[in-house]
Amino acid sequence: MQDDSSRKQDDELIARTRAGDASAFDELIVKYSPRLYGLVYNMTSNHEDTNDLMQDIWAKAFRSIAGFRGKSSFYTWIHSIGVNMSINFLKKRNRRYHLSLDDVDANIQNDKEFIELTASSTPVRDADLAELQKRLNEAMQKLSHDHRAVVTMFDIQGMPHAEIGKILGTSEGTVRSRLFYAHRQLQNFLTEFRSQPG
Amino acid sequence: MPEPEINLSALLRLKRYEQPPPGYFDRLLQDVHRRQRTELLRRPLWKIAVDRLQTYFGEHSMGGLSYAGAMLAVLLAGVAGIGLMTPDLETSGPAESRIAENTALVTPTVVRFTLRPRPFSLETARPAPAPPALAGDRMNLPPRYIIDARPVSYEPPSSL
Repeated sequence: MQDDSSRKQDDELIARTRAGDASAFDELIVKYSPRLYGLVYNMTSNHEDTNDLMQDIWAKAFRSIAGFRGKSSFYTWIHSIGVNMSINFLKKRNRRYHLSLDDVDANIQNDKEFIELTASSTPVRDADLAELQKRLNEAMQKLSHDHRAVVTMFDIQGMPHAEIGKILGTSEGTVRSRLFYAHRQLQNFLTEFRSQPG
Repeated sequence: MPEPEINLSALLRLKRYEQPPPGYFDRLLQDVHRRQRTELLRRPLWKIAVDRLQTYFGEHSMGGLSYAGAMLAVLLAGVAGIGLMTPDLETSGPAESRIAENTALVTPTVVRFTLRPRPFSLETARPAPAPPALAGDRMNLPPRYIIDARPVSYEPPSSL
């Protein structure tokens, strides 16, 4: 969720971009690309597709920034573009995803959830965790685009329901019901995997 | 012994650590710059204008029908305006033309006509009256010009 100082900074960068300062738009790219990448990657589960989409998204944002009226924050606006372009991409192309679990940030070792999940007192070990993550990614691909989008934004990126509703153009209630359904689907799929012999 | 419940939320939160290869975001900025330059060189101006209009109407939450309605209204206003400004022309031959009585502005792009040559009177500095053969014509008024200047074609040839 964005705070006021961040939003003011964005407003200033947008004003400078409109005035012709290209370096201001570069600052927006640097600021929002990591989060945007996470959103698009978890929608497509493919690095190459994500890279193509990232360029498309920023190209569209650059073309459209003159018409950006500031009714929503730039954060919401750029994420809306990202989600819509990702969903349109997924609808048009039926790609097999190629996950690369090696590209995991080293900071995961310090994550509380990771530590809990891999602690010796629980049955989940590193190898099991990697396998579970792989199955989780497969399960994510089985969700519809809309359900995958809400899971990505809420569970992975930690956005509040209200913000997700603004990005998707739906109500909070719709976001919550989609999340409930998606969680149930994912849980069922992972439980099936865990109960398989061998 | 039953399997412990999978902590789905925790597993999903760990996915935020899945990152692109090192140096990716630096290369992304360069790729975006390259693409911007290419697009600027390639894009026609009319496409840029259409994109700007679409973004404008999109920001104002105008639905597709509202947008189409607005465009139709502009088009109809334009056609009506052209209709009002177009003079009522009657042609009786390839070499003759009529000039509308109340035409305040005549532009070559809207009305095409051939000026009937008239003798020019040096005394009055006005075109001479219409010849008798044309007395019965409904429109026989001298042409009006935006600038009160003689038409070039009416000036007597200068003899040096």
